[in-house]
Amino acid sequence: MTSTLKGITLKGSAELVAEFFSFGINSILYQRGIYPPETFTRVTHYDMSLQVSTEPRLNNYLTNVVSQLKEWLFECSVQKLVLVITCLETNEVLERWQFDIECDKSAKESSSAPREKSIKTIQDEIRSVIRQITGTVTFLPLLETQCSFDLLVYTDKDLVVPDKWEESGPQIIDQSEEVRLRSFTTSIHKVSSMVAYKRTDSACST
Amino acid sequence: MAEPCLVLKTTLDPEVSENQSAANSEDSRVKRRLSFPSEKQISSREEPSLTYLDLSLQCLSDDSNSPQPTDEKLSVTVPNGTDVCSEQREEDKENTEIHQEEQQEEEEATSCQESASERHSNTEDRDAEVVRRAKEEGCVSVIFPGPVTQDGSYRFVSEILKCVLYQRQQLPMTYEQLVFSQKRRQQQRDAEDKDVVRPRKVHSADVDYKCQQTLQELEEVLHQLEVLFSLSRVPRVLLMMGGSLVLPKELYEINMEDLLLVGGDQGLRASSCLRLLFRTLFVADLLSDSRPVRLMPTTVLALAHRDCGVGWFRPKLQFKIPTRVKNQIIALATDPNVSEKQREKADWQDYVWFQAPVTIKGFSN
Repeated sequence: MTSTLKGITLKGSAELVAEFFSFGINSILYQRGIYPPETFTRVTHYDMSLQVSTEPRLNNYLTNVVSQLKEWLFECSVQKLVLVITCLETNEVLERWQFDIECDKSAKESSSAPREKSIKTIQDEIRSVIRQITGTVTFLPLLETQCSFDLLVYTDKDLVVPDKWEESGPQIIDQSEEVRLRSFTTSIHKVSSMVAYKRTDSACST
Repeated sequence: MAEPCLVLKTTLDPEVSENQSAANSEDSRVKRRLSFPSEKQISSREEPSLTYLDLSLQCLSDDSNSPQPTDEKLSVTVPNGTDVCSEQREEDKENTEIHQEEQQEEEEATSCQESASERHSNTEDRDAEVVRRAKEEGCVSVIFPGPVTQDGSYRFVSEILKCVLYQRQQLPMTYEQLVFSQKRRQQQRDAEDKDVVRPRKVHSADVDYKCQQTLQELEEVLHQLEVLFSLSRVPRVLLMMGGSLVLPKELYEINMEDLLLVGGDQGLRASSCLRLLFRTLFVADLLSDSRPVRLMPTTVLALAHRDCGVGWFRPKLQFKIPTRVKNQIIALATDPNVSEKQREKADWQDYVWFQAPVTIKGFSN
């Protein structure tokens, strides 16, 4: 990782954020039951227990996406990453995890010095976001139907679309509620998270 | 204002390996991943969620790719020049009707969007108030729109306890995940060849032991709380973490004095109430902390009737709630507009504090 004890470089920041997305996506897929829990294994990272998938095809897919994402983070050309969960049968969007990314483009300048923020502090902030992702299970509606997921990346308009990528619609939820999670910052990239979910009936049942 | 952007997704499919994807690229775009919900999530039909907060519609108008309605009239061309005045009048009438319908739909959509925007705005205002109260007063209020059962109130306490332990970093995973993980490890051990002796890593064995111990302690406390709730109304529960009873490091109170209790099937469904409760707690962000929290023992105290006959909990007649540490209060109450007939003036004079004889020690990996 290109980061020094004294601070974070743009490359190091892109790696940290991409790594967060990798673990964060795995956490969401595990917590929301998109894949069976027995297909996950426990690892320790950010000084906490995390669940990561053991499915080779899923991992291959995520590796490809995150790898491309890292490039875009380095170029400061990515604005959002969105994980969309849809009902397999009806194709209805049930949940939408949105990660807004702000990049301090002055870090791209060759004269830019590493930023003074410790990796430990960044990882502490990331840890609290991942704990919050876990915590959302306590109130998000149960996903009772079989679901699939998609990863959408919002990039700058003038970006050249690489091979194996295509334009997509935003896949918005019809009538949603949303909550914001904590954000974290590397001092170069700031990631703000939120989850939107399909609003359910407000009537109480007795 | 959002910057203009492209929305991209990969043409790869998590179901298809990379060397297949080139050959099946069209299919892979259409294919969807089958998912297998875990057993814990395949349950009886989901109970309606209790959303006491206003409804909201996510408005991302800059992202919308839905076509805007137009008011272009339909037109018909007549190539051979025949007199089509009457036909034209019929068409004009139809066009007018269609146009009126479209206008009506547009007005309804606008009104729907406006009311949805209002609801969204109301939810945001409520959420902001929740955050403010939590920060400034250390209090989170959850108002249920109806009464709950005694069992429901026990479930609130047990789930809050588990949540506090995880979010305050006393458990490396949630309680349910720990139980699942332990079961899986046990099954793996049982499946291993019993004749083969394999040395277990010391660290792994130590963590296993601590995990089992913590789960036992927690399950004991939860079980005994359930017994207590069956014997007495429990208007307040304290979770004291670290330090001593006189000066804990952290103090959380679950206050249910204003919760209206009913018996049988009369109350709101606990699961719906729990969703509302945890959404509110989440928004309040009372428990999460970016700083590491060290392991510390958690002691549970509960206020119950002095003559309830509980055996496991120990009465603490002289106990007073510590005042030199900030008491973070989670106040659960029933909407005061609920029928006054159902409300009785509560009298807590004969209620005393009981302390769990077991502390929950917590562990980390």
